[in-house]
Amino acid sequence: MSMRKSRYSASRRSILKASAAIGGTGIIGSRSAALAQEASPAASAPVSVVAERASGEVRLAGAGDAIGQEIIQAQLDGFAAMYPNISVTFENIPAEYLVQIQTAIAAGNAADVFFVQNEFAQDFMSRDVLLPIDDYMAEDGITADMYYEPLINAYTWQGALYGLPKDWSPIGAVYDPAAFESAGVTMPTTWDELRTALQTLKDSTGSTALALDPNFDRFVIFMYQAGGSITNEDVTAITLDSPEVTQALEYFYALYSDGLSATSVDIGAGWPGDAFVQGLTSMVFEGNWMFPTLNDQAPDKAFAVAELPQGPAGPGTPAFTQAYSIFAGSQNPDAAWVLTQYLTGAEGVRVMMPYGLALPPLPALEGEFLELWPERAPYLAAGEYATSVQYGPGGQTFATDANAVLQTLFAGQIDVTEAQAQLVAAAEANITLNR
Amino acid sequence: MAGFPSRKPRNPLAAEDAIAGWLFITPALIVLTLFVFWPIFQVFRVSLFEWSLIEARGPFQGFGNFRTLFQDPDFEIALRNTIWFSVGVVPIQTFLGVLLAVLANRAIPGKTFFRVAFYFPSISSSVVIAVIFIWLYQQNGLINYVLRWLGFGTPQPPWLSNPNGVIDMLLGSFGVDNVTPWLAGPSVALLSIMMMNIWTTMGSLMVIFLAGLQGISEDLYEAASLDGANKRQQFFQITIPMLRPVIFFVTTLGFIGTFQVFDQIFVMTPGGSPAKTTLTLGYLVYEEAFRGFAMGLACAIAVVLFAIILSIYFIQRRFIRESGLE
Amino acid sequence: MASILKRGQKQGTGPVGGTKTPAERTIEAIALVVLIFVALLMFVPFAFSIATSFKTSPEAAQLSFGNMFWPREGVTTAYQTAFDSNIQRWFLNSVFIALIWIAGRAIMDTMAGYAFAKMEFPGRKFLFLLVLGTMMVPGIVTVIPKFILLDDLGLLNTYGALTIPFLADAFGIFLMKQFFESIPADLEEAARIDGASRYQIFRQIVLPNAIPAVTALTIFSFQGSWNSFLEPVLFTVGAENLYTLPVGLANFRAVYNTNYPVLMAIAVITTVPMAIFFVVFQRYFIASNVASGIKG
Repeated sequence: MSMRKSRYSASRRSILKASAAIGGTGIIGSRSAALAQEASPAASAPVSVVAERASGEVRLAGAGDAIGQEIIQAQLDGFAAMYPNISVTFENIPAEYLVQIQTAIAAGNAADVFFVQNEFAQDFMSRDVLLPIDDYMAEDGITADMYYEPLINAYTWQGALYGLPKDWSPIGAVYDPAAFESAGVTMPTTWDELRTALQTLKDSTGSTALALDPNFDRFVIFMYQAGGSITNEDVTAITLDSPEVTQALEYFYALYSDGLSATSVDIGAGWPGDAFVQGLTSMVFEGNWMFPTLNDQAPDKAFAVAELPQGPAGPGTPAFTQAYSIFAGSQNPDAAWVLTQYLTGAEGVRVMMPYGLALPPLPALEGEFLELWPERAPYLAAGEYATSVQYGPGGQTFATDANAVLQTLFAGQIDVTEAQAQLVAAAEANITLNR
Repeated sequence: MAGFPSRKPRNPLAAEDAIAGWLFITPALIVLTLFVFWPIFQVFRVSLFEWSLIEARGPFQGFGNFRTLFQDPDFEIALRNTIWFSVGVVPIQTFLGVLLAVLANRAIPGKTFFRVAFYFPSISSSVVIAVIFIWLYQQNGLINYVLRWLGFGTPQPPWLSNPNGVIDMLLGSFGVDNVTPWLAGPSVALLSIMMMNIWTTMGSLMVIFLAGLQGISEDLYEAASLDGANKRQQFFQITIPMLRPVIFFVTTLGFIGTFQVFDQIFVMTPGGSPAKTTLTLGYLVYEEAFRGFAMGLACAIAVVLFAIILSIYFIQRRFIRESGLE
Repeated sequence: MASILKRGQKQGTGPVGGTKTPAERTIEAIALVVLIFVALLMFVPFAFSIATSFKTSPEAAQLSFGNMFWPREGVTTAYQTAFDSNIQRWFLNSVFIALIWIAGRAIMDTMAGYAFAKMEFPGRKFLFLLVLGTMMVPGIVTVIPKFILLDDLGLLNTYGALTIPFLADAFGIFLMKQFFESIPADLEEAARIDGASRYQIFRQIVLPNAIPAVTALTIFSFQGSWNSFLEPVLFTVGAENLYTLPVGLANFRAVYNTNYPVLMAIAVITTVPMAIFFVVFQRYFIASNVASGIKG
């Protein structure tokens, strides 16, 4: 099977924003093994109750490349077999998804079901663009705890749920086992161990061992691990000025200024994954997308995945995800719901698992997935403690500003204190808080 | 405009023209009115409101968006970057366009080859060119390779990631520090994109100037030569003046294009990457409209852009008219 | 713009006069060498794309100077993938749409440009300024009202959305206006004295002499259409049968795992027709030695 990664977002080189393939793993919080067995039988998923009254046409919009389209098409074939009363038109947006979907919404003609990526989910939810699905879920016996908690959190707004995650990926440590072995290093599990390991690797291999860019969506790794956050729980205040964030910033910057990490630019690669593919570095912090990338560009290269080292406040990692949501203005919400629950349920998710491009959002399918892809276990394990990457409504422009701050920090033009102050300012300027 | 005598004799076709003129422009006018004027009118209108695109249009703001804009530090940064971009690119690409056209127009063998060669960058997909240039500009890319081979240093950080202003760096080497942002010049990253832009467009401009050069009669040159003018004098006193309308055309287009530059920034340095030094007004429009959920603000920026470009057009026209047309 | 040469005038190749001194000859020779070098440089990206399109993915990822212009292991899998993805359809769509753009603009822009240049009619100056002004507003925001309009007109997701809004354009009108303005008035005056109407003048005298400019317009229209990206993506709402080449290309541009060989293969297939088109039409830039229709 082809392993090309399924990219949805626009043709940007910018790192990170990709709803990565999702891999489920781990024993998610409330998902117990017993339930896992019950929910993942070989038999097909229960037929939706809502489907009994649903029929007609539904439009589905997605942001995929060629492989992504193939997967969705296969899923739709399965859907048609199970729900023949509903016909689905699939619209694939090859580029500029965000532009397209907003334009369509503005024109009142958005698809009934469409992708919502975690980065802009909150902006959409806070503007009543998506349909809350709690009632539908109750009718069809679907509960939020059937999915990994961080993913559900990404699509919860003020107590209601607005979408079901279709796949995800956290960040893990992707490394070169051979390099580790010759340096006599094992995968570090704490911040201090990480520093030591990187130094040893550098001495052994002669080049910087970690490629890490000054992007906010990588900085959050350390922020989460230190116990910091951008806003408080109910998004009523900015909490970027906390000492935890200071600690995270200092550690993040120190890796770079002490020569333990290098940016992909310094190394001469397009992005850290590229540096790893070309063998220019021994470790990167990237997600499940490294698998298809490596398979495509360096199929003979040996690599391994491990969970990230833990910080002072314990383990933490960002999770990237996409959901299927129903347009608030949909003319056929019942049918739209049936499609949504199928695509994000066991039946639909099973179709994409053999491609290995993303991790399944259902803990119940962990076992099956690991049978296919045992090496992805460290990613799945993160399902327990990951935090979905969301910065609040207005988060995207905040991210742009935050990236600029981090770049300036790495360029040595400001110090950590100033950088933190600027981050706080950027958050206050861009993020809309609940009053 | 060039070619028109300043006072026309009585036009016997005046009456017919009054109608014919309108008839001739009607087809284009219909298309433009529906699909260009109307959308632009909408943009102007929306600039007076608050709107996130995905909700119903918000309250009337009057000039509120504009006020917000002028206080927004990003706007100032974008304006500055855009001006540097334009001021750098337009004269150079125009000059190179003329130069190439003059060279390609001479009786040299393989004229067609040269024309095709110089035009080639303009026809390649901008995505492909951007991808290639990203690679070229890398730390270990071809450009640095050649520079090192020639014995020069290379910018640190490498091109597209370098936020240092070029004038700033230049003055710095003379010991002048702390230049205000407005005088720091374009950043190395922005300069990289400017160079790529010039490289891509000079071929198209060459094409336009070629068409212009072809129309200058040989007799003019011969007459001047007989009068004792050498080649350089002929060039400056015949070629350039005769090309004036073309130059005007090219620089107008140049300003219009460079002030709105967006595509290349989007592909090569999204987010205005190295510390917002490649953030342009065109990019800011996109950012505000689709990532900032502030369509009203984005339209306000578009209106301001329009005003700036229009002013430049008028200034140019006045300037060229004053220097006397042939 | 290219002026019309009077009868008997030779097309200029630049300043003349004087014999060349040896120094001048050397400089000219050097200039020629530099020119050739720079010209070859222009082909570098294209050569690079061709080479990459014949590589395997892993090789494309391991780029070095050794294999920049010549793959170590040449394969045609990229092209196979492109053809499997229905690139033929994209190509035909692009061609069809380009032809309509060219036809529309050749007619409408030329007529409008001529009118603005030569005819006096009420509102002329203001209208032209309006037309010119439309180029000064960024397209990224005007697409939204355009989209809504096309939706209201029921044109979304049809070839209509990709052609009708583009049948005339401000740039083309500007181009033609500049050109027509540089035509000396006496050609037309002679005809007027003979009693010709404006329409006759346009058809029989002006048009035949407008070939260089119409050629330029054709080339630019083709280019504009061929490489047009944002509107086809937005206005086709994901309908694959309407994809044009640039849209198909975008399909292979992933954020992380861009499949460079396929991307380049499509880029090559996209660039070649444009290049051929230019080579064929560029000779019409030579302002024809107009013996013209002016009777003695």
